[in-house]
Amino acid sequence: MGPMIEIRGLTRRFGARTAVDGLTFTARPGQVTGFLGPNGAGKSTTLRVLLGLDRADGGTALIDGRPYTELRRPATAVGAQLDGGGAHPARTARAHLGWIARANGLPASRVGEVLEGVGLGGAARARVRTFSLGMGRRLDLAAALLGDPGVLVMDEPVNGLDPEGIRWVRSFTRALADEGRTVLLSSHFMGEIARIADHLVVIDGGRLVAEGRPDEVAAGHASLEDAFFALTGRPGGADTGFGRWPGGSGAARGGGER
Amino acid sequence: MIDTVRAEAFKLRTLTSVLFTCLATAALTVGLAWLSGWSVGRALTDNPGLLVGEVVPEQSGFDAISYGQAGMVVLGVLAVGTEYTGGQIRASLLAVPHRPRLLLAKAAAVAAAALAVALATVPAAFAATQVGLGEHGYPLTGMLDRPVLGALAGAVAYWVLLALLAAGITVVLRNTVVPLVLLISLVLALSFYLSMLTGLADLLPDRAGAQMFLRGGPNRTDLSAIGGGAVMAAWVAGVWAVAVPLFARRAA
Repeated sequence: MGPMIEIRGLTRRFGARTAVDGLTFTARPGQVTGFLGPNGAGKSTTLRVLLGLDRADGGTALIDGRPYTELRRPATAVGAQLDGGGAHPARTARAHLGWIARANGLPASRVGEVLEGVGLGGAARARVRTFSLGMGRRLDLAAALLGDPGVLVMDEPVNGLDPEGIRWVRSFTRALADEGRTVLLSSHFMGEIARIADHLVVIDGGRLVAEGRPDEVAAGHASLEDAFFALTGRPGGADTGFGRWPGGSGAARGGGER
Repeated sequence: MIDTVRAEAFKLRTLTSVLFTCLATAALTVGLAWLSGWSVGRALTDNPGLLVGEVVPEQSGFDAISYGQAGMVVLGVLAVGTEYTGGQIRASLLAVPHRPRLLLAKAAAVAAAALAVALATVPAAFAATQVGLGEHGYPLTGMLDRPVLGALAGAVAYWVLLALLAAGITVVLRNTVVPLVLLISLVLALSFYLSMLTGLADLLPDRAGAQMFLRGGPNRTDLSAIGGGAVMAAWVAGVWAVAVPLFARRAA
């Protein structure tokens, strides 16, 4: 029923480095698709190309059969939450959503509705610079939901959140998928995403290394985490793998990935 | 397109720094205009020997415009520069993925804001100078005389073009400090000094554009009002002709 996200042979190079290398996968309606890989695996680059912020050197990234850049009122089709927000710190939450609503021809009344929906109703008139990390994420999600889109794309939504925030993201994304929407969320936290996602896409070095239901991806391994370490060629707990591929402690604050 | 322009205009008016720039530009320019009129008027009455050259009241009415133009540079730079604060440019491109459309809407919003400020400030500054000049001032009813009205319209056009020039350069440089320093030093002093070195300086955007309202004085050049305006407009068009394809191509 809902629209699909289709990545076909996507390639993106930065100089001599190939960030995304012939990547192919599909995110379907009614499912939460977890897009997993260590930092630098090419997740953010893939999402940035999908959302028209960067161009592809080869292949296609389509939403409901069309590239994002051809969408007329994109907020009504795709909601995106990217690492690094996108709200000017001196603007109020309401004003931030206000211009996005205007740009997409949405009624101003939607702003109040989505702010209430993400639990920011009381902070509508507060400036974005006063927001905590968790509030900033909620604002980004409110921006993504403004046009009631059928597709939701979220880059590292649980990164840096406390357990309460992670639980909130989990229940929220679950509810959105259960409404028939297509939800694609990236993460380098395989543990958390495995509990949210119906479908997993695992990449490393810009290439697909596994795709399927969590139990399918974990098949043949002691646990899903073991499966990830094996698939991405990073021995769990060993010196090289531990810091870059945080499964427990030592979780470096990500976000600088491009 | 109209939705995008509305969104860009909303972006401008919900930023305190932009509002402050517009209000401060109007208030300071009009205040300065009155003060310069008043001091020249005092000198004319008490000690005319202090004044260099002849005082032409309808020309003095534009002196403060030359200082207030710095506000238009700040407006243009802020309108674009704030896109690069807090990663707003990504949200902008997500909302309007068609990049030329986003940029043209931004230009339209900047032009509209500059026009509003200029329409309020330029005639008020001219009038304030004449009021300050007192008995030496040009009669305010004379503002509707063709030459004066033409110069007032020229000054308004100059402010709008300057804000657009600043915005376009900021798109190219993706930085606020460099275009601010570059343009403010150019419009307030540099182009005048360069004009002493070479006649080519008369083709600089600010010096050429100022011919739209200057009728005499050291910054009057050989270009006509129309010719000067055309040179400045060509600069603006040239900068945007670089800015739009550059912005369309690069990753955000």
